[in-house]
Amino acid sequence: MINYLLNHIEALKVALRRLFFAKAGSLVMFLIIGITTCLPMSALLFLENIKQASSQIEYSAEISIFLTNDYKDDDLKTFTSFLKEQPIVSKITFEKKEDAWVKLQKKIMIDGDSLIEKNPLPDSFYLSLATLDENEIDYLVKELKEFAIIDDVLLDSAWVNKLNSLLSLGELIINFLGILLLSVLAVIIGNTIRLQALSFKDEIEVSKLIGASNAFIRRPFLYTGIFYGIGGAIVAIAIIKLMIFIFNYYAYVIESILGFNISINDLLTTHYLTMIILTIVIGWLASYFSTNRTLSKVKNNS
Amino acid sequence: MIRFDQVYKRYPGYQEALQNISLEILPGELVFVTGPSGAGKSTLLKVLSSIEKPSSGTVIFENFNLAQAKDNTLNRIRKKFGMVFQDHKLLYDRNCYENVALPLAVNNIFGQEAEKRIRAALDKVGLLNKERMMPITLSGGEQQRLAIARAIVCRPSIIIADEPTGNLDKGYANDIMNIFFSFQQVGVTVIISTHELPNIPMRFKHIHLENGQLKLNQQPYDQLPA
Ligand SMILES: Nc1ncnc2c1ncn2[C@@H]1O[C@H](COP(=O)(O)OP(=O)(O)OP(=O)(O)O)[C@@H](O)[C@H]1O
Ligand SMILES: [Mg+2]
Repeated sequence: MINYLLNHIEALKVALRRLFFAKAGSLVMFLIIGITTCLPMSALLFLENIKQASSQIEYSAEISIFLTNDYKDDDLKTFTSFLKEQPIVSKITFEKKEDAWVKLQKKIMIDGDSLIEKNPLPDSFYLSLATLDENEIDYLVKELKEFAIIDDVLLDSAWVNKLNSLLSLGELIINFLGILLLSVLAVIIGNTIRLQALSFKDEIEVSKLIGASNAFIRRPFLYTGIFYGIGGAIVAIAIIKLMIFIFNYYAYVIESILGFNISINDLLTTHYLTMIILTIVIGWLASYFSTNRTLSKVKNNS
Repeated sequence: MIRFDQVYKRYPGYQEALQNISLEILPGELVFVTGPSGAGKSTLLKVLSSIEKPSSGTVIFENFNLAQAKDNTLNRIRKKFGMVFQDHKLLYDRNCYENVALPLAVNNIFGQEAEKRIRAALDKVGLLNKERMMPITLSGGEQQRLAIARAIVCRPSIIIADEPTGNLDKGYANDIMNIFFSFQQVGVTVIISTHELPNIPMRFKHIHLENGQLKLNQQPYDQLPA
């Protein structure tokens, strides 16, 4: 057991030595992996920030309710108390048709003359909602339509639905992009390790000749692959943090002119952790398969 | 003990490098394998150390038939041999000390025990003062001795050396031979190949190959019938 551990420590040392032996090459690998990983990560950063921004404008979801022209006052009372009971309704505004008419006339008045003689408007309610959840909103709209005093219900949150579906499309694209770039990474790392294993052909050959198992020979390369993953992840995190820092630095200046917040928030720790784990796993897998290929080649030659 | 029984070795697309070889090597023997270039000396040593499998026939080592053993078994058996390869096969990206450390690492030996053994092996071949040097900076004879140090560091019971005195002048060659003699004296089986035909003392076993065929299998004099 202790020997097994020592064996791993030794393989780790060997991997580190190789990494330092080829400083420039290792650095280039870190950069390639880092930059490649950065692409889906910055897309994710962009998406996450849009998501957060869209959740901040939750009160923008509104429902306009137009009443029939001849309802009874009792019905109005029942309806109003129904609205007050709804947990997702955060604000209720009732507008008499006369008031709405005055407002409208102001808007469409041309040279003091109204184009429309008679008030076409009904009494109406405007509801602000405390949620963006489509199902909850749809359910409320359905319930509203049951009331006899209601002529029509208009949902202003359609754009929210559009945004939501755009966001999930964005997520899909990021996942796709992520998988695509991860396979690119696997190919890059695999190829580099393969070339590296090829340059250590002598050592592999000697080790095999004196009785080393494949697992023993593979081990340092697996660590190299893992180190590539870690190094690349660090570069990726550095680039993203730097990007956020620079953006927010200038955003701070612009905000004072615009008067509202445009700075972006960092990704979650879980995002970063997932990324690190993925690059490590990719590094490990890629070096596993490419070392195997080299091992079988060396075997045929000896 | 190692026993060859009607061993043939055919490399793919090549004529037979070994033909119908039957021989026996006893523990503690020092064996010279001689023959002109291309005679099959290296091939014989490779089959003997389970690096190459025979095309037909049997090679018995410690109750294992190397011709049919599995990879795991072969790995285990190879660890028992100390190999000096014809082309050294030193690692040029590591210093002398680290080169000698490789077989120990393969055998899971690290730390102080490893250090002690590496120093002892380097001392044995007279390279202790050069342990931090890179092999490329060593002379041919020193590289050869480094290869020997690597072969003996795991204290093998059998040492197999393929032309260990290859391109060395006489003085160096004698130094190296003396190292092997000293190992035989403490009970190690030593098998050495050479393409020159030195005067092989009668007390050693002498195997001579030509065109893959066994031309001479001279027993040491103490085993000859009186
Ligand atoms: N891997 C191989 N593939 C094909 N043919 C080989 C291989 N190794 C050796 N041979 C052939 O087998 C024959 C015996 O080779 P071997 O290396 O055993 O000779 P040798 O006696 O060691 O020669 P030398 O003194 O030059 O080292 C040679 O004719 C050689 O060309
Ligand atoms: Mg040879």
